[in-house]
Amino acid sequence: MRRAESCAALVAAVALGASSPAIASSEARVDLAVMVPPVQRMEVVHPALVMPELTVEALVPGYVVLPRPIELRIASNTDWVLELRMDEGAERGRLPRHEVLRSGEQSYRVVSDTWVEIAQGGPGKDIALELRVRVALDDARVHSGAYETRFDYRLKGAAE
Amino acid sequence: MDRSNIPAWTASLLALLGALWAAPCLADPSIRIETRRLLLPLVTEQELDAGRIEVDPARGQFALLVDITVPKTDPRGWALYLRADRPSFAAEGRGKTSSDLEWKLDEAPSAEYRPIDGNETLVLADPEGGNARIALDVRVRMDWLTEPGMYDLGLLFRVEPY
Repeated sequence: MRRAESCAALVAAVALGASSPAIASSEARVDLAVMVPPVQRMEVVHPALVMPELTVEALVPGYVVLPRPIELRIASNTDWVLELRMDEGAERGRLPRHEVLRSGEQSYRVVSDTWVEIAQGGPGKDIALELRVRVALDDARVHSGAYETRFDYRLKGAAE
Repeated sequence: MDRSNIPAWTASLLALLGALWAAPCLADPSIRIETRRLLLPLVTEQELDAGRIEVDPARGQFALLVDITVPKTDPRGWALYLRADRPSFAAEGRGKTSSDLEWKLDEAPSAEYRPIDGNETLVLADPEGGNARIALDVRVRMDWLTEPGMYDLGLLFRVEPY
């Protein structure tokens, strides 16, 4: 009888062993992975700056505010910083001083040959940004004539 | 022990062994997926604008192939189920829930994408049974507010007699 019990146990063990692979193969696992890199986009909507016709009265304050702002549209999935500088092709040193103000802020910032932080913000899509530009005319180096000004824009992560 | 009883006793044991051996193999259809790790394409601004990254840019391009194999002698059908292995993508803390991952059969229209969570959902059932190859598309919802980083999630498939 002990032999019969031993054989029954053996049969049960063999049977369980035989069924295991079938149970295991009724399931499967797939690991899915997706990488999201830091992504930023900037679009200058209205890049052209137009100087109004200057009059004697307009020169009294010592500067002229350009009537049309620069409009930018930003998308970023990280905190971002916008920087501005005078374009490398511009006639640096001969140009009047340019100052930029982000709409909603109080103080203008001078745009120079080096990058200047103009604005910052958090992640989002279609973040509209408006920059007011004024040109100083009280500078001693400003002489009568035609000036052409271009800006370089740089958008980067706040942590960079 | 009475040796005259051994043949009958052995025959019974062999019959039992045979039944136990054959039953699970006939009853359980098996599943096979070649892909162990599915790495979706690198996310670009186009995907962030669209609000998702999808592995079905055109019909016929699929993310996963699932092969169901059923013993020829098994007349029963089968059902394939799917669930996520956890409620949110790793790394935890970025707040991306598993339901941001959606799936559909490759031949189905985009409107049939369905989210995945920790509860098993029926992918496909075939009452007729037999072998099958099932192509699945997946997409992950994301946008410009999705924090940069690597997101991982385990997909668990299970097939059982229908």
